Amino acid sequence: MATLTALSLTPWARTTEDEAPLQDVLARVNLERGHFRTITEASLQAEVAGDGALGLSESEDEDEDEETVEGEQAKAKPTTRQELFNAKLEMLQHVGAAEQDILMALDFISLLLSKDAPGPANATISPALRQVVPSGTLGMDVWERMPQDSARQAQDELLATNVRMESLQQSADSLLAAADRLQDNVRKETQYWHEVLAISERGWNVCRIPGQQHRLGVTFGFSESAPEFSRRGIAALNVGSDGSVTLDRGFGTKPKALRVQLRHGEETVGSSQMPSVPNDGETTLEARIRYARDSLFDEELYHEMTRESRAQASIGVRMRGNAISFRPSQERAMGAPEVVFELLSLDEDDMRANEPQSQDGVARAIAIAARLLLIQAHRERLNKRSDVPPPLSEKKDERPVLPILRPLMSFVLHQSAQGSVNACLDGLTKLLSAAGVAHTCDTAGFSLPDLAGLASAESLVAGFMQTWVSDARLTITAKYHAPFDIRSHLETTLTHGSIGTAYVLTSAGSRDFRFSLFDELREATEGAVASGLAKALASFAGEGWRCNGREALLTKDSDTAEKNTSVWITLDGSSGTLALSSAFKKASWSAHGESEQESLWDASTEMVR
Amino acid sequence: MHEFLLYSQIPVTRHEQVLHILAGVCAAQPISVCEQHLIYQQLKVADAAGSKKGAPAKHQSAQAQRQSYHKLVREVSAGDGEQGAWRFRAEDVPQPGVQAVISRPVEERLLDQAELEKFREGGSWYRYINQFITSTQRFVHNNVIVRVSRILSVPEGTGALEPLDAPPLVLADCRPVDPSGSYLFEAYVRVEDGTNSKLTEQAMSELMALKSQLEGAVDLRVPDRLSLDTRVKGV
Repeated sequence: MATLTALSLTPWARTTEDEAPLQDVLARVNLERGHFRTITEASLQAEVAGDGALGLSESEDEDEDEETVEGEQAKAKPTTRQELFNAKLEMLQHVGAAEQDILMALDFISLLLSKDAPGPANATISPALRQVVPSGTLGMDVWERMPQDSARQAQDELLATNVRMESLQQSADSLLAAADRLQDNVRKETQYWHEVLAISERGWNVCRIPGQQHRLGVTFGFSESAPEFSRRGIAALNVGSDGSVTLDRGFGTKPKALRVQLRHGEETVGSSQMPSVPNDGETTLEARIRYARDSLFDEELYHEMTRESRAQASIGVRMRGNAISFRPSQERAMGAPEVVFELLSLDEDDMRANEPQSQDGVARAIAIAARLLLIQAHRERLNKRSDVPPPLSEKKDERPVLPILRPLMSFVLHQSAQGSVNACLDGLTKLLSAAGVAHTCDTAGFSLPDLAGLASAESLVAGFMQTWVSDARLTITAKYHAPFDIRSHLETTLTHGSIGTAYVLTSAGSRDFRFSLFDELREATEGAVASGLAKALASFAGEGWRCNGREALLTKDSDTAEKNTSVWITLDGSSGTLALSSAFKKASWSAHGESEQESLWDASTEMVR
Repeated sequence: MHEFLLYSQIPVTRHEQVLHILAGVCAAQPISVCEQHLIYQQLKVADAAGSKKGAPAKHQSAQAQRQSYHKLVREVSAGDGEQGAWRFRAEDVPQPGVQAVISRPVEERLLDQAELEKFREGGSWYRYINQFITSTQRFVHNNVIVRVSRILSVPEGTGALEPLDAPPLVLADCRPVDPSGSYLFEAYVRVEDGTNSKLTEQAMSELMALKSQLEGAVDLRVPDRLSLDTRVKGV
């Protein structure tokens, strides 16, 4: 029956007091109802009426209501001490914030009022503000509210819209310009890389240039060249305005090439081919790189040959103006043409002498051989560089001279030697045919290596470096004598020991003779042929005749004075005569002029009788 | 002869890259060399045994008094087992004063048959210890020789036969001594005469120039000097 209400139990007041002071009443109302701003007399009347109605209701409802109210109240109450503290803290915070707001508003108003009513204002202004801001500094005016100026507003709106549009347009323009530029750049880059890739795919090495960033270059030099040439072997690739790639200035222009000329005296008998250069406008980038490389290679070749020629003056290498000229000295080789190497600039070359000449093939071959020899020298340099170096010692190593000129010269010497020997044999064969002596002749020729058996270019070029060797053979077949032959063997080498061609003459029945001069060989050959013929005659002539091989003389002892006691043979190659003579008679045959009709054998039969 | 050396180690994953870098620096391709090293212990020091008549004491390096380990090296071609001639190699302890590189006197010469006999089994001069194979890629840059090598150990039982006459080893059977397979990088310069200061200066400067050129790609360092000691301990 006892109902719990939230009434505070206080003792009855003993003395009736006046109405509680307003402050207490206000405090009580605040506590009970929150803020008292919403309390009006009318609302209180309504409440009383409602409460009374509530009190007249039935007891169960009252119980229920009270229970529910109590339940709600019980829920609203914090259950733990912590929650109580938290709630209190929160409330204090809110209260504090509210207090701050109010105080600031108070300050503001006070400051505002301090101009017009300093007294009360100063009372309410807070000391902090008073220190910071002197009083009376904030003024206040009452303004009439301005009428709405719609025209002006519309104009303002229009202005604002226009400005906005303008700026948007500007940004659109700049974006478009950026896009254009980007497209342009992309196009240029594509073109650039397309061209660079084109060069690179052709096999040229595209690399960075050591000094400059962001620039590519092409190397077309050779890594084994002398330093002054390998430094020139790199050209920067410049970008044009439309992305096209051009070679740096100075490369590919003024190309040079080496020309080999063979001369007899003043007259040119053979000339090697010069590469043709089309006009500047038509050359593609790749072609210009190729010209640059060829020109650099030929320049290096000329340079190395010049260096070599300085050491080879003893063999007949001279510099005539700008050309290296090799003329073998007369006693070493007869009739050899003079070989001239020149470095010509292709621009200035007047393309004369286009008609083919007799020794063009030889000149061309020499030019190609010179280039191959330079490449071989590069290879040798690389091999030597990769070998384990000897321990450092005091000996200084200078740059070795590359052997380019020497193999070529030995070739020329050998060729001319061969030519002379063959000419000599030719004369002899003519003579012998005129004299009716049967013979066969093998002329000397170059023995070429078997191309199928070569493993690499190196072995091909190694063939150049060896000594040149060839053989010539003249066989005289006589009726009454075993065929005897005369062999001459030629060796040409340019090593320091023996420079030039060495001839070895072997004739049947006697030992080898070595000669270094061609004339000696010729004389010895003629002597050998004569003695051979004499020996054949001796056996042909029958008994009693003795042969003195060395002097090609046949002697016979005889009593009577009128018979022939000696018969001898003379052979003269330079005049081309063969003569069989005795004390009384002489028969001669000649290769060029007139000769006897009968053969040697018949003539001899007459003489020995 | 005097040698100046610097070492580094290359893991397997970087082997190809380092070979490419070296090929670019030296402007040449590597040469593959396979060598067989036999290690012998000196039983008698040659000079002490040879001086009988009290010949005037020649100036010898202090090491000649103590026994050392010497090596016999020869090139073996990896493919067909073709063998080169034996070379004798005696390395001394590296000199203590030099910090920047390893500097040591080395003697290397080709052996003829008579001297080879000293190394046979049962002789009183040398005792066989062990052998190993190195498979090397060699580069040459001016005067500096660079070797990237891997040391392989020989299969079991090879030492039982007389190593000088043993049949050529099958390379497939030899396994690397270091199971991770990393490579040893050596850069060295040789000088004919170790006392000539001009030459040694030149050699050192070349070696240091190579070191600074390869900096960042391969870091060359100086190992502990005493780890290259070839003297026999405990005798």
